[in-house]
Amino acid sequence: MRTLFLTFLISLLFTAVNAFASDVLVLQSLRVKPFDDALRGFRSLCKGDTKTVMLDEAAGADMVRLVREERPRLILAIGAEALKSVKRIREIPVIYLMVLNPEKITGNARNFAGVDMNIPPEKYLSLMESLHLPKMRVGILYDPEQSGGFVKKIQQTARAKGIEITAREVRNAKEVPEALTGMKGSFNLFWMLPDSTVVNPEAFEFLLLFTQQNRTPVVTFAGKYVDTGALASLDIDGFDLGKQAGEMANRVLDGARVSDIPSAEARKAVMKLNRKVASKLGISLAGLENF
Amino acid sequence: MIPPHIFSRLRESFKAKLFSLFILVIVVISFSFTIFFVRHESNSYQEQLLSEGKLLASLLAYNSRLPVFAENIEALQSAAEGIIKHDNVVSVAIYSSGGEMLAEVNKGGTVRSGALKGEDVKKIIGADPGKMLSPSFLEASNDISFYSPIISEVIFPSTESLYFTDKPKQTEYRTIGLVRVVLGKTDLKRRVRELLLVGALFLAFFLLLGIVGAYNLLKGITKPLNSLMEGVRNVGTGDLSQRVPIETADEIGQVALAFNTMAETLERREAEKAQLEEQLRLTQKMEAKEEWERTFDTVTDLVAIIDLERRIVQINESIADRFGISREEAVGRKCFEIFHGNDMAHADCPYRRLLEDGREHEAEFNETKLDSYFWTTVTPLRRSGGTLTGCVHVTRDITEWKRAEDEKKAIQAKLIQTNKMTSLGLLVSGMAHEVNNPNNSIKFTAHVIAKIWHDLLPVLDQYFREEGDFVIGGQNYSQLRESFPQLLSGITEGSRRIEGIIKNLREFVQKGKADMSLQVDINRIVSVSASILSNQIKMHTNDFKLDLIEDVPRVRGNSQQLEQVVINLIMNALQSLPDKDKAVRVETFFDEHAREAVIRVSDKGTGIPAEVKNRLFEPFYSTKLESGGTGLGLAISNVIVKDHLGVLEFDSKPGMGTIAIVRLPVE
Repeated sequence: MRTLFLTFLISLLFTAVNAFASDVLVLQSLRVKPFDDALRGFRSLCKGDTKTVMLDEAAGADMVRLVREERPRLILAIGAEALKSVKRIREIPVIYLMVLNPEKITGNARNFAGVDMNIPPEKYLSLMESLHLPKMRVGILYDPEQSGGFVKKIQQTARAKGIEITAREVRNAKEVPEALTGMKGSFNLFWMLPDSTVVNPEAFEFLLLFTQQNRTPVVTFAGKYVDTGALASLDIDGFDLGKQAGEMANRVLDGARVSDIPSAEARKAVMKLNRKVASKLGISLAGLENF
Repeated sequence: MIPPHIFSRLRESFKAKLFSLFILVIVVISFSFTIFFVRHESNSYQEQLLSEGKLLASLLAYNSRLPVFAENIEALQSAAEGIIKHDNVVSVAIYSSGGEMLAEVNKGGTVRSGALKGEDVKKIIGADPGKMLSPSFLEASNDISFYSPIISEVIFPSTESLYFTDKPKQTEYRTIGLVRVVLGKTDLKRRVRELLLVGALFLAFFLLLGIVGAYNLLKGITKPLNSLMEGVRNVGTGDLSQRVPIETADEIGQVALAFNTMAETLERREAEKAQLEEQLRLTQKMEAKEEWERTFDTVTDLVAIIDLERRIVQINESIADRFGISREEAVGRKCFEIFHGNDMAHADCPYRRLLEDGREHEAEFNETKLDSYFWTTVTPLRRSGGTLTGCVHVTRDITEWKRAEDEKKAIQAKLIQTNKMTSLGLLVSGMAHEVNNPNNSIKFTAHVIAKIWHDLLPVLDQYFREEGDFVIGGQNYSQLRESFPQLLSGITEGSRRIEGIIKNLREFVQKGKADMSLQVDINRIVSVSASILSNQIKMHTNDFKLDLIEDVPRVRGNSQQLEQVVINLIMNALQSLPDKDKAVRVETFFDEHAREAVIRVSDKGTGIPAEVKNRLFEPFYSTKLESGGTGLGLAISNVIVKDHLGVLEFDSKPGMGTIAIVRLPVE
């Protein structure tokens, strides 16, 4: 009954708004700070007016129907859930943001474009290099289903840079401890990827314990892990990602076909260091001063 | 076995009550404390054991999280061995959520029979994994089993959240296994036993300490109370000088202070009371003494207290007045000196008899010196033991009584006389008539004879002359001629006297009939009387003299009667004379002082004997009955004098003569 009433209200709202249909319909998965930052960045550049719907607050609403009634010129989906809710829409261009592996959701649909959440491997490798570890060997654990593509990219880049990568596949979080134990001695720096199989709470804990026991620095993808024991992170900048998306949106609003716009990688990374860990592991951070 | 009276005494003792109360309180407190202590400690151990078990289970669960997650049996075994090292842990087991036992360690290598089966594990974890997030425990008789779930956070809902610092809202938990840690109760039981032992020891110690402390404390508290009680008891028995030492400044001290003040006040009051009582006693004694003395002195009887040596110990005012002697003078002197003026005890002394028989005696004394009659009573005076110490000598002046007695006798005599007179009156009335007739006949005959004599005389003279003297009736005519008229006159006089006596008798009987209205001259009366008695006077004395004072005033009365009195007195005087040489004097004079005319008839006769003296005026009493006395003379005379308001008195000493005095009032 409540849901029906809510639906009625929303439909009433959009019926009224129809006459002044917005250029951009923003669908945001959650009201969290990175997403809000991204939206702010988007708005700071996007020419079109925007209309925002919080998915977690309008739970149960049929987004496809909503979009069809709204008829925006562009949809901005922030977060995987937002993207999933509009993955069947083909007639309206969708720009996504803050989605880790968008291609898994969008498939081969051509009306989707967006900014990748992953920082380009080069940047990570440059950071690692700046640590000046002797005979640096980088260990990676990954679920090929989640991070297979990214790992390939890494390996390609590393090969080019002459950095030795030891990557081990895991299909299940339970395999992490064993896999890690098995990799013992084959790396002196662990690169933690944004892979939910690996970055499982228990697995992450084991990983941290393991790396600490083996005095192995960990480079990760989010600042929060630096706080719990990783040496350094290269984090995305939500606002900048938003701006990147805003640029894309402007091009779409200007008439460009979204299929012509390639998905972009995050162009800006924010580095975070844990100096205490560094000093404990005896690692000099001098090379990162000007990174 | 304690005798029951000790219990009853203890029940009455304040100290014992207080002590019992103290002990009761101590026992209650000690027991309560011990029970509380044991319970608290026991609970504390239990809690400690429970929290230890929970902690160990939680710890093991936490530590087993990764090994269970990774299904690393070795790591689990090592973790379980780490836990089993703890003192109380007897068994450690780790199970997977499916109920499979991943690791188990038992203390002493023994395999516990109570190992869980797969279903049990599932039951404990529950139907809804993730609900049992906190450890639980199951208590058996000898051990406690602690269960702690091995919790895993569920896979992130979205991969993006890997980046986010904010905790995703949909975080879920999953139970991936179960830890069971069994803690033996042996240690707990041992510690509880030890605790009980320690508690009992403490209890005994505190009881002992409490009893000793309470006893000493009570001793301290009740000591001043005891001394206070002792003081109160002593004061109660009358020792008001008792004071209680003030040892404390507390309520008891204040009570002791108040008690001392009270005792002091009481003592002072008592002293004042004693003083007042003494004063009162003295006053009473004084008053009693004074009263006694006053009473003693008020008694009109002459009262004296005399000791065994007849010495005066005390006399009353009456004696002092009567004998004109002061009390001080009298005390110590012999009683007979004071009372009788003698130097030895009176012959009739009743005290002499009292000293002989120890009884009360009485005696009558006629103290001529004092012109008084006394009636003396001596009563023995004894000490409380009965020993005779003297006598109470009470003398009463009975003079007045005596006089009254005499008067009484006189009245009685008068009564008798009246009686006699009445009889006499009757007699006289009858007799007067009988006597008068012959007397008249005599008188008439004498008159006739006188007439005859008168007529006969010339004849007889003639014959004498003629014939000479001749004898008639044994007498010579010459003598007869002289004596015959005298004889005739004697007859006539006798007759007249008879007539007068009869008349007097009649008047005596019928008193008041005589005419008393005339003023009479007593000298004349005396003269007439003397002349009437001239013959008798001549017969009795040669020394009769009338000594009449001329200017004696007249008195109112009846001369005939008064003559009768005087004749009577002169006759009595004459008759008392032993011989004719003895004198009789009749005097008259006027007693100016008494305003009385006095007739005094004195003689030098035989006097009146004492036994007669009292009966002088008694009718028909006569010493001369044989010689013709009638016993009426003085009786009639006395009546006559009294009728004239006068007094007839006699002063007589046997052998010395008698003086009869008639006193007649002069108007």
